[in-house]
Amino acid sequence: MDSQYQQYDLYTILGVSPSASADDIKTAYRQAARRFHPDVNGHEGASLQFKDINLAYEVLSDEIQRSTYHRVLTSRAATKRPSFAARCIPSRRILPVIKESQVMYLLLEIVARSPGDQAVNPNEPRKAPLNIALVLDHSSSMRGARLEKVKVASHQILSQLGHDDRLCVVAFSDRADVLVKSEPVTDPEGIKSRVNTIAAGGGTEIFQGLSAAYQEVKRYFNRKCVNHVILITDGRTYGDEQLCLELADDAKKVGVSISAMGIGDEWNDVFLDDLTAKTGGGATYVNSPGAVVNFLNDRVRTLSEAFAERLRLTVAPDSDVRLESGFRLSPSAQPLEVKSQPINLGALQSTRPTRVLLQFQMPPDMKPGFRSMVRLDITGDLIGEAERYEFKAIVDQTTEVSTKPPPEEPPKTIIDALGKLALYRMQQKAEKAINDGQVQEATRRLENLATRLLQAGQEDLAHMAMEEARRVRQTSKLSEEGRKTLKFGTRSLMLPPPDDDKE
Amino acid sequence: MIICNYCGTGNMEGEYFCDECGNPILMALQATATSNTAAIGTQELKNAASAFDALNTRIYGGTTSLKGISSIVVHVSGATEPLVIRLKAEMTVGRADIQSGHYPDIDLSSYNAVEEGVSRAHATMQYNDNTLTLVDLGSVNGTYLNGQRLIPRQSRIVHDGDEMRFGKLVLRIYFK
Repeated sequence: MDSQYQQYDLYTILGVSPSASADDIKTAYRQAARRFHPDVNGHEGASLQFKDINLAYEVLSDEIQRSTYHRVLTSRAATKRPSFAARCIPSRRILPVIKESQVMYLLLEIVARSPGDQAVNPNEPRKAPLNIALVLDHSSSMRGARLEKVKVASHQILSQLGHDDRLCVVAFSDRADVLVKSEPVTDPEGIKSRVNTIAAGGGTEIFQGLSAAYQEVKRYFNRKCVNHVILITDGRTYGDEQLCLELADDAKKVGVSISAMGIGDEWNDVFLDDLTAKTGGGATYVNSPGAVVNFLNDRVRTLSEAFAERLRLTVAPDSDVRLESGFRLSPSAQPLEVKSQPINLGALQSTRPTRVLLQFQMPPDMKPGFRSMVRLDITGDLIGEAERYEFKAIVDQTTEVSTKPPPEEPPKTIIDALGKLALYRMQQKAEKAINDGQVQEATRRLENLATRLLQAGQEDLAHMAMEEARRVRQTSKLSEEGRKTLKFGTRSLMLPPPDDDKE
Repeated sequence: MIICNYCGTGNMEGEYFCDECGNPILMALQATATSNTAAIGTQELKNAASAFDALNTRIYGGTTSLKGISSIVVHVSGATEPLVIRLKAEMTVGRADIQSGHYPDIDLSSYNAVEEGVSRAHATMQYNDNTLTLVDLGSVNGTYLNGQRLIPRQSRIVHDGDEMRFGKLVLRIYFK
């Protein structure tokens, strides 16, 4: 038996109790096969789930293997280990029977649990060792306040890092300089003085710098650590975007995440979003150099509070249900690429839950009664354990269908999230309309967005939207600043207020 | 299909916010508001109804320009299907009268027009210079634009998303 599977709870995967009889196991397997077998269910997530189910069945249907597995299970239960729990809140509990398709949202919440299945004490967050690299843009456009603030920011994070952490610093323009090779942070002053030598000059070629930093992090890759690359840039990279994306694919496989921050208006947000989303990281926009300091400090703090790394979500809907889109709401707001599974969610923090909003399309003409809807599998590597320790949480979501559903109150958390997601989507549609040359439509969408932002009390963003609507009408274009402010502004609305998490 | 009360766009069953204008969809939320007024969860829900009322009197946002548009969409409240009307210089609004042979361009007789107090020749909409104006033709029960009664024979500019009322019949207009 694959040792990796010894770590999973095979009974949960198959959906039976540990005392189940051989017949129960066979029935459960048949049911699962009817739902997820590639012949009946074309979803990528479903076939991934079916693989797991097959393995579980292989072990549990064989008396000898099952008893071996039982011993493993009992010995594991004796040593208390940390874990995480997942729960799902549906937008509606009971669906009506109608002749058309309908929408259903699920809010998935993943929470860290201490050994003994206790909630993590927010006052004692775990401190995970870091293996990180800073990739700093020092092209000529960074000259002045931008580069100075980046230096200040780099100095400040050194005070957060200790002997257990590794840091690598790469400065890049059209070539890359490895200023600090990945080393334990024992001499912060020495690192500071090397960072101070950075001078502005040259163009922007992200791949050079990114690749040098990634190689360093990869060399010292450690499952007990958070392995992460932070990219700070203010420009567009030319010609090497494909190489960067390929690097991100490799990073995803290895287990290194990448996050990025863009300063000013020039950088390519779509590209950085793609690049970081692949690895479960995220991209942020700041328009003032001063914000760099806060961003970087916050980023490093967030990383060191990681509880589990490489959180991966597999969504296996029933064959007639469709996964439409996904959006990570916290710890940072980011649209998810749901086409290829498993979906990377990045790190789980010890004191803050990871929240994901999933949109499904339910089929028309459903039969009244209870039905299964989707199975969600969340797998992650728990940090700080002696050996590699993968943990898996499974949620099997069912729903009720009725000809006369009673009126129900949609859950507050879902309504809040959807209201804000609607704003972000309006911005995205306006942007798309402009790219398609639909000036009229773009203007209308921006004006709608402004009205809604005003109602939501976001006056600054509302004014920005109105101004951009005017600009679009006159010039058929958005200003880069306006576009980025609206995109990342509406996106960041989805982050819960900081005190909301510490209930 | 659920129709957004604000812009009339059809949204898929199960949505809570309009895909087009981002407003909360009242039909989806109303059921909950009446069934359980004490425990309505969010501010968003509480505000939904009042925000909608406020919008009726506020002329904010909606564009007046019809450039590049050849038809307008009118949603009659209570009706499921919107009316699509091709733009021309003059469009009369009212209800058809077979005896006198009066047929307005926008015929509201199928929407219970007599009971709702719509006159035969109630109002007219004029389209020129890429803008649309609404004129009351001295109707008995009056024409209202965004809740304000129009002075007969005085034209008013119509914005995208405006609410028009003929007697008691409420219509919403969209430039599409």
